[in-house]
Amino acid sequence: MMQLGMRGCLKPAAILLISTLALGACSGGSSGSGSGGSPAKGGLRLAMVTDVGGLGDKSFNDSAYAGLKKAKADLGADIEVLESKSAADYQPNLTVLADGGYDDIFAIGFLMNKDLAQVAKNHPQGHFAIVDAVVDLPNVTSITFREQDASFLAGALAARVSKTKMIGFLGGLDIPLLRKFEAGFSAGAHQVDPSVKVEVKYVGSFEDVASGKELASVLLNDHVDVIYVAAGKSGLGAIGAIRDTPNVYAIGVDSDQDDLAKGKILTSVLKRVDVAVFHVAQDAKNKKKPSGHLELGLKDDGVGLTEFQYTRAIIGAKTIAEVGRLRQAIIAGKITPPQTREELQNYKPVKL
Amino acid sequence: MIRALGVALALAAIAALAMIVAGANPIVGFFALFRGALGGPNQIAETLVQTTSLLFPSLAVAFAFRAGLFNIGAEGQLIIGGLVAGLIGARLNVPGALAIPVILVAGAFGGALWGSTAGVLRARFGGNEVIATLMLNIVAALLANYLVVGPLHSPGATGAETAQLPESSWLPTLLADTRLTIALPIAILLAFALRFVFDRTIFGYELRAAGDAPEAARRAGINLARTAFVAMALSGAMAGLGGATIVTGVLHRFNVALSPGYGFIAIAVALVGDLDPLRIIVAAFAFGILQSGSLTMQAYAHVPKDVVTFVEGLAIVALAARRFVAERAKTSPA
Amino acid sequence: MRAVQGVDLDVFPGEIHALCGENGAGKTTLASIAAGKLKASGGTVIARGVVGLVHQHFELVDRLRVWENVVLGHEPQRGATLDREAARERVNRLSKEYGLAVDPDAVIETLPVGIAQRVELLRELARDPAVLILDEPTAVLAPVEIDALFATVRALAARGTAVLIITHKLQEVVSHTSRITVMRAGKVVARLATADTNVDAIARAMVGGELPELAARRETIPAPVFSMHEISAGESSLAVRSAALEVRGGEIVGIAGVEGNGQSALADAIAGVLPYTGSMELDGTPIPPGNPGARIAQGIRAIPQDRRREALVLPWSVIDNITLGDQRRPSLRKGGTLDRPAARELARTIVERFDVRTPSLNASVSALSGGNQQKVVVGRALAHNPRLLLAYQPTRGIDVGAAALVQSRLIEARNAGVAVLLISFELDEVLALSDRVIVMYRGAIVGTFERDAIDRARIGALMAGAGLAGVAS
Repeated sequence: MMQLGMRGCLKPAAILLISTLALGACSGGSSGSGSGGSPAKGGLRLAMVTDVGGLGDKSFNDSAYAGLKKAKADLGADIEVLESKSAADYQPNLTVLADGGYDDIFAIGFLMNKDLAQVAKNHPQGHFAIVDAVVDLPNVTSITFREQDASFLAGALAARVSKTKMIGFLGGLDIPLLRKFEAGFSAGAHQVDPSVKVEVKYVGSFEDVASGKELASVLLNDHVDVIYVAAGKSGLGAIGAIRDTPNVYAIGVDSDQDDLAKGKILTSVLKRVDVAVFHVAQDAKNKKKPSGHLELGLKDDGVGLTEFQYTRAIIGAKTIAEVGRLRQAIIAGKITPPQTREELQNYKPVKL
Repeated sequence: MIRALGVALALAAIAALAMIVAGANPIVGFFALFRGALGGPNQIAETLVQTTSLLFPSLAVAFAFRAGLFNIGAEGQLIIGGLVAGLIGARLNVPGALAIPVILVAGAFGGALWGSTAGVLRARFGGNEVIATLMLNIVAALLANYLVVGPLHSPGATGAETAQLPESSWLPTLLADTRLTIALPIAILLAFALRFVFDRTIFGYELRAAGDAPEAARRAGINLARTAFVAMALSGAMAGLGGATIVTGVLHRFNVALSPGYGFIAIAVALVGDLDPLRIIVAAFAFGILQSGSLTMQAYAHVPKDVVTFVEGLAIVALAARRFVAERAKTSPA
Repeated sequence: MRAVQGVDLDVFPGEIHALCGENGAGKTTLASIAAGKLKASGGTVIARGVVGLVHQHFELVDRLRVWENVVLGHEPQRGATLDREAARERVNRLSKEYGLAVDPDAVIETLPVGIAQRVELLRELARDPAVLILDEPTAVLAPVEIDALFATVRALAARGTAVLIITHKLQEVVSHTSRITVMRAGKVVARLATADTNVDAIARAMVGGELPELAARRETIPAPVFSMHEISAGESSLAVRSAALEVRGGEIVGIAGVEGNGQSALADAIAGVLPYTGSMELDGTPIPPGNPGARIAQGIRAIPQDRRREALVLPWSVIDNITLGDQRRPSLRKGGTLDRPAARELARTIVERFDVRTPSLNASVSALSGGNQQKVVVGRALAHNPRLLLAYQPTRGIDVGAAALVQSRLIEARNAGVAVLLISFELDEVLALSDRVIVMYRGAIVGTFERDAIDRARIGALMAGAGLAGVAS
């Protein structure tokens, strides 16, 4: 009986498979070359590997992809994206692309640094780039950002807007990368008003919306009235808590978050992974392979603040002008915002 | 075997449909899949790495299943096993020859602890192991994240992961410049050991009795509560050992994203392998091809990784449902 | 294989017709075809009106009330809604008309089986059937309830209904029917007029030959083996309450009673799978509670009531089933591993001695007939010189030949000094095998009869509850 049933299901399964393959063969002609599967002759070929967040994270994976798309539009590049299902996929994904002979392969995220180093060593003829980490190899471009510079401006802004003179920093993970945000923010606040107190908290995760909301509430209860939220998805919870409380404000991070709660998000600290990716792509196009370290700051528009679209009135023209002066001072090298807690300890506000 | 072939063909057909929906050419897709998985020694090595990572939790699921327990928690047990291995491995200060067994045993122990938690819930309070293990998966992921980021943060670690393990405690590779390690022969050895346990030992006999006819087993003097506890603990140990081999053999650190869902795919692998440890080796290899080939499929056929995830999910649902129906038919009066 | 093949059967208006045959002869299949619940692959069914079928296992919705069950499927409607009053009224009218007293508002699961059967009967009668088929209607009834049922059936026949009764209780056939059709292996093998036949002739037709004889009872000198005191176990209506009894080596003690009067709780308490209060002793030493494995090691073996669920691992081989419960016995193990050759040898011996018909020792027991499965269970229970054998419905649902073999083995075990406790709902079986008969009613022991003082009528009355109202003997 059972045997019969199984034999019975074999035939329809086979027929189904063959017919779908046939269907695919008919329709495949148009879709196969859609995004450029076959290598363009002599053209620029770029690829990236996402971390497990994947495309659609509204954060640096998406931002990097935007840079690639710009390279495709402006430079006529062939582009390819591989998403990773687990940390174990980073290395094989990078290897597949390295074997595919791309001009540049972007590893998006510091978590890939060890895997990238391994693959780059095995493929000395290939060229790679990594975001947010430094891999010291001749065929790797390390892309980092001066997050502390933009955070410094955010700190100054927060200190000026705060009525309670209590401002907060809410980070995702307590790791060196996030401490750049933290240190710059604190220094910026003290630059304009040494009496302002900065409360620092970390959620312990970039994914925990509930805890983000809870910690924001804790800060608000302590009379903090501006919070710099650098906590990925966890930050969305914090922004929710701020939206529901009058007279308190958030500062967003990574991408333009001003729309998430119009009028409640003073500004967003932008980290333009797309700009960086496009920058490296341009170099590749011009056959310039900048090995080594590419650190983007305010000057290159690698980091920056959004345009106060909904909050101009709340902040006031005077403060906006002051932030503009600080920006110029940083670009001019008169101010060097700290990027670690140690540097913050030793940081003294600069007389301008 | 005919059934397995039927299942494979049906899934392939659905995968082909999914590729068309996703705008890819299925013929190119399948070609890329096999080229990526079996196209050369490095590709085969990577497929075997995936096979190994799947084999441990699959044997874990099968072991529990033979004892009548639906362990959906292999994923959580694998994560905890990896976590313990990573935490200990990054701190351990003993010679390599000793470090590796210590780390592996610690990982297995961690998984056992996690599995037996569900076992205790079932044995003492009659709790449903399906729900318990499912919930414990979530707890495992959160706990791992909390520990590596918070109280047990390793100096030098970036993100939600431990520091790198010293090179001396990496599993020896079988093939230079690949991630294929002695974890594979360990997993295969485990499969043969399980086959022996099931077929030859009194313990395995009692375990199968508890799984195949719990009421008859109880009346034959087999302590069902204890069997459930031991089965869940050992099942957890196997999944945990799997996690430890990923840490010591593949990533050389613990990362909260160490598994793309091996513990869930394992359910499909165990069922395709008919819960027989040796056939599960073959099934794990087949799914290993999918896992490693899917990366190339993305690259050369523009098939989103979600197509493979979708097909695997479908396989789990279809096979688990089929099993449930079969169980029902078996227990209900004719 | 066909369950029923080329069967012709006529039942006339006003007639009570018996359909007899062993388990698996095809009776129930034939009834289902007649009632239109199964499709025959060939042949025709002609009925002058509706065919009603009262099932062996009631097909009632336990959570619904009596009137809801009776009108289910043809509910009286008022507009789009159910007309409850009309429905209740219809049930009351039917109940009076056929003399089947029942409370229309009672919930089925609260009713005793005898009353639940009336509801099933009422439901079929509500459709005014020209033909009424009753499948094993007396299996769960006490003797008094059986008499009441047949009174109703005779009244129906008198009104012109054609009645077909499927039963294996031949005494009822002879007492209440007019014609008999006997089936064997899916075919009709005899058509008899009740007036011209007797129980033995019907039985021979069912079996297709002479009836197997039981083993002879030998004189034994009973010695104390098992005793229990003040045993209470189980829940509500199925519980056993403060029961005390003794089974000596070399005797069979039979428990008579209608199903659902605490026998199951009693058996499970003795087997150690149901918690109980009170004490038990084996060979003068107390038995610790709640450990079935220890009891097996002490020599308490059981033939459970549901062999497919409680005794066997169906997908397993004959060999593996024969060692179940004894897997840790030193003679069947080598350290922590199974001693396969020893198990095979044991299985071979049992298969031979109990005449188990199996394609091979490695065949799955699910492939065996019920009778052969039961032989495996009984053989296993007797394989290691038990002290006490607990036999619960040991011949339920198995063919006459297998039943005779099982019964003979029980007698032989008794002759060899084993203490045998027999629980059966077949009074004839209890009376035929027992040295002492104990009657259970609502969880209590209400009467004890030595073999030479058995009073069938008195036992029947006690089974129906007479012991509670009057004075127990």
